[in-house]
Amino acid sequence: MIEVRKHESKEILIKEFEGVGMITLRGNFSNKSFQKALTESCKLGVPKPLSIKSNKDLSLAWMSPDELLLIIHTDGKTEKIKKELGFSLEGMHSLVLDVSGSRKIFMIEGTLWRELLAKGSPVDLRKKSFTKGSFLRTRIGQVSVAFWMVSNNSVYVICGRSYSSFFYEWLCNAAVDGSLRKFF
Amino acid sequence: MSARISKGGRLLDPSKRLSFSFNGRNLFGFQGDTLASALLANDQVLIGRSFKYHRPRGIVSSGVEEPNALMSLGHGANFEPNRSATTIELLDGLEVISQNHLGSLEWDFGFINNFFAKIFPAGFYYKTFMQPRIAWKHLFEPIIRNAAGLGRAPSLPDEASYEHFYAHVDVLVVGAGLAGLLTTYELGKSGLNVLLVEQKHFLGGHALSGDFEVNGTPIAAWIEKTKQELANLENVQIKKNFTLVGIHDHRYLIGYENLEVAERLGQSAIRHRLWRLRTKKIVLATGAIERPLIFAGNDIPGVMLSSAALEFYKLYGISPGDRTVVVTNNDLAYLAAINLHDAGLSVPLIIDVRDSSNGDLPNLSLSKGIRIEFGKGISSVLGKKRVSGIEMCSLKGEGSVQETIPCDSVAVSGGWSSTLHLWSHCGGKLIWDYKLNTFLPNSSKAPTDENGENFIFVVGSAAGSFCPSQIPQNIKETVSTLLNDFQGVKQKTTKILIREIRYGDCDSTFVTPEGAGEKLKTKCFIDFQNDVKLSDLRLATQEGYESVEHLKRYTTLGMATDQGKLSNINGLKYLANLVGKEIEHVGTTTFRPPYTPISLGSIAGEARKGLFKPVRKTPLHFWHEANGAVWEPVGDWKRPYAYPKSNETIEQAVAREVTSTRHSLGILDASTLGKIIVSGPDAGDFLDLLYTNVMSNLKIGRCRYGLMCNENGFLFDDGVVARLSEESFLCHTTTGGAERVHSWMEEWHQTEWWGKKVFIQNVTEQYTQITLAGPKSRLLLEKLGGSNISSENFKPLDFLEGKLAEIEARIFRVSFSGELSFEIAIPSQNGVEFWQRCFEVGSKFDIIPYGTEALHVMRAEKGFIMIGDETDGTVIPQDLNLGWAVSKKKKDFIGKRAQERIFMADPCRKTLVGLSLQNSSDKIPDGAAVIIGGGGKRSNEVIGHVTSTYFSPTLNKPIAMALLKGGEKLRGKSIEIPMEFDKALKATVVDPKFYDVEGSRQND
Repeated sequence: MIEVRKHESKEILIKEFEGVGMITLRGNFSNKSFQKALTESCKLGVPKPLSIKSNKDLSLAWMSPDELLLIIHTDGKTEKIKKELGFSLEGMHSLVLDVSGSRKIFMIEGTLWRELLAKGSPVDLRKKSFTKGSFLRTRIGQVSVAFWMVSNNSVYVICGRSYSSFFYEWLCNAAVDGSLRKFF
Repeated sequence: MSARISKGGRLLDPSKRLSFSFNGRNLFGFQGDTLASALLANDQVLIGRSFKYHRPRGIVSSGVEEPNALMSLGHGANFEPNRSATTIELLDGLEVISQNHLGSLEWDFGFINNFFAKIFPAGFYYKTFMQPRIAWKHLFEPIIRNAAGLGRAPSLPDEASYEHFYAHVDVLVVGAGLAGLLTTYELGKSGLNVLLVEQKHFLGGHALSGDFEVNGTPIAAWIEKTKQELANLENVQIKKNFTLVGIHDHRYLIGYENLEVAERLGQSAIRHRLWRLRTKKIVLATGAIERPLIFAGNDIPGVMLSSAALEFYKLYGISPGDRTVVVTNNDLAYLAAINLHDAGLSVPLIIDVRDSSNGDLPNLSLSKGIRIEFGKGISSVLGKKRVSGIEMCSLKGEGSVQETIPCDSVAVSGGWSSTLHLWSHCGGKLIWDYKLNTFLPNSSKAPTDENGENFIFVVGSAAGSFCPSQIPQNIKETVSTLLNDFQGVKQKTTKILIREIRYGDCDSTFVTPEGAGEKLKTKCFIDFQNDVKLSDLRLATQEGYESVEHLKRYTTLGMATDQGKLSNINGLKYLANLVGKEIEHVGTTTFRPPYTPISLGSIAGEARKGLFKPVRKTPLHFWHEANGAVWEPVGDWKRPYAYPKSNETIEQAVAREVTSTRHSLGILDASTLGKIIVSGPDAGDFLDLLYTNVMSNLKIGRCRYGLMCNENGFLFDDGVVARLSEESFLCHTTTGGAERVHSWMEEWHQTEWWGKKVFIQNVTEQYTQITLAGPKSRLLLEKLGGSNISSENFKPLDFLEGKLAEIEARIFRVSFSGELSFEIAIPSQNGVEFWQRCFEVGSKFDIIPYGTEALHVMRAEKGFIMIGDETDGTVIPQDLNLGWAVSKKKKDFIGKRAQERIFMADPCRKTLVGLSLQNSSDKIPDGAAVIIGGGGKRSNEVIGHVTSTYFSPTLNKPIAMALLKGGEKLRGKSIEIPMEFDKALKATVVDPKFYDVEGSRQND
């Protein structure tokens, strides 16, 4: 994971990263063999809709009823995990694709990160609704994104690589001093 | 005169003096003032001119209903017109100018219109369109434009910042008057997540001007205490300066937060914030708005609503005048009389149009020795730029004057209208209450949510509880009903006691005197902001505009920026009188969002300048930027159009890029091309249904050019398909087409062919795609090394996966330029490195980057089509001589049946041809019509149009493609392209393949 750039305002720290390993996984979630293959290769089970599961090395996010996104937090392991997954899913109708170059990942830190995202995202960001383990695909401003909590004070946001410079500008603008008021 | 007095002024902080300017004059106010109260404190009773007749106007109200006091604020980039003075919190240094006068506010030349009022009757504007025709353009329009139109438009772009904010809450309470506070208190105790919003800069609403007690605590102290208690609840939030302006379907609401004061004080970077809320339930505690009575001269500065007179005194310490006459049809207006009297001001008379009232307030007034005249009305208000007195008459009759009373202020009340705009936005119906003389929410026809359940509740005076003592019980019951929809939430009621006040009934009178003749009626203003008078409504009904919707548009009643908050009900009452119906049968006009005007900036939010619209950038974008690319927008992408050198025009750059590519080597960023993986046991079958040609028999390692048509047979996308493995295909789409094609595939998969085992994945952004074209492209790849791409081993339409310069790459041998050409897909993160390696190694082959225009020229030289140029949604592949790519063997594919229709098989369809210009210095305009030419009427028939046109540097002449009726049959014939001034370009129809027809270059 390489930090591309960062921006700091009084309340918010925005960091943009690339080179985060990501694998798209398509398959039939209710198929026992699919579940088994997943547990074997990732040590993670299928996450519930709109949620993400994580362990030390990996996060597994629910993207749609037949699509998962595997995020590899440890550098250099993507190829190996992709091979393992391909091997254990052999013969099953499934798809494993390395999409590490498709997206950029942003870390937004600061107690007011919910307020920042609420400037552009129509989802329910109340503490009781969006919690640790929630994973939502939505939009922020005019950019389609997905996000999940890292800690109580930080969140990861992913967006398409081609939109990342626009999105970075959007985030910096939304983080301008004096524009964030505690709401959540 | 109006002035500041030492009494009243609950909102003022007299220790903080603020200065502001009005029409260049320096004036003073205090912290807590509104602009309106500060103007009155400075005896500025005349504050603007009216829209049509330029009559002098004064402040009528103390809230959002204000029709007259529209001001322009600030200057330069901060200039803002048409702001209502009653809703502006006073700020130190505020610059204010009045509006709608030609010349000064005091001496307005436009006032001349007032003397010609007879020629500006209802519908005047529409009548100017009719006769004589020439008059509109040369006479009426310039005059009307000059005379009308409120404030000026700003001359500079707005520099302030705006934003949107999304929030979800359990319950939204609108209005923080007595009812809103009590409701929030009760809901807050239940633990629900509640947001209370208040449009004004203070809490309490009308109640703050009251003198009653809640549980023994005086109201002002109770409001303060409640505010503190609510602030301690974590589940409750309160927002001031926040107007809920619209309620939409699915409980979606629009709120408008005004942060001007905080912005000015450096506490907010944002001026206005647009809230986009979703809530489960809404409680409207929106209160009520007082209506004026209508009488001749009711618009003269100094006439104001009784509620405004009371509020200006109670909240801001303002005396509206030294001598105030009160005129009313209800008990509540007596509060103004009593308070002004108690403040030591003179209230010479209360005119009550009713025969009598035995309410507590009239009795209290009598006991204080205030004179009351029942059954009377005002015949005329005296004065021009300010009230100097009134003429009292009997209510019945035509208005003969019984007594003239000198005064400098008139407080008027024609009853109260419950504020139910928001109730109506989402379909709530209204019912007329004859006793209270107002519309009330019809609870059996309430607005419903997506489950058919009532989601809007109304409390307080908005629900007709005009007496504070009625409110606690009303809220207890409402909250109980509301909580039924929240499982497991219990109501915790606090006992609230407010002493009851006995009110006499409100009267339905709205005009005095009842028998006012035409002379008085032409001075009886009903809509102040649009200058609509009783006489206008009468004329309109006489001309046949009897439906309320027609009447409104014809007379412009209620169509100004105040949306008729004061005038609507009076207008409906008068219309009901004129057509002889009850008001409930006349109907109302439709209440639409926004409830109050909101700034355009807030609607735009942050989406301006660089954030207006997303720009998609390829991994190589920064390189193009650094190398002088001029851009072409393609979809959301920006692509390099050409890379002009400092001494070149763009045309010269394009020519150089083409020539250089054809002679040695060009490199193109093709990353924007759509890339979609279709994978699964049924992938081949699935693609056979989507593409017009067969894909299932494609061999692994091979590519095929494919076409996609819609159900009507029309071509909408094309691209190269590569078979990656037995079960996996990679489909390329056009640059703008990736998302569209992806959804198209998903839709057919999900709705029609869900049984097919395929997964569809858009991997457009995963790859940096680079085209190397030109006779030296193979040499470069060999030099980079790592893959065998020799002509024996790597044939046209082959692809291989391997390495180039140690970088993982997928190499396709495809050509869109007609040259020997390779497209190379590199994982995005390595794209820049590869691109730079190509330049390092390519310098000895004279490598140059080329842009989209050179790409287009080269494909046109080869006669290759471009989606969007040669296609326009009405073109089938056969029209473009691409019938070879439409399978005749396949049982079905999307578009097959449509293409079999007679019309599609008609030999007279327009088909693609090339055009060769007879005079090579001519330029054919894109999209130009083509005719057979040669003179004569018949030959001028348009036979088609030009689809692509370029200057070909390779052939050193202009080339073009066209879709022509008859197409191929015209080969060798000459056609004409008509131009301006009866000129025409002459061209010969030729093969659209202009260059290297055999394809020997790309197959090298």
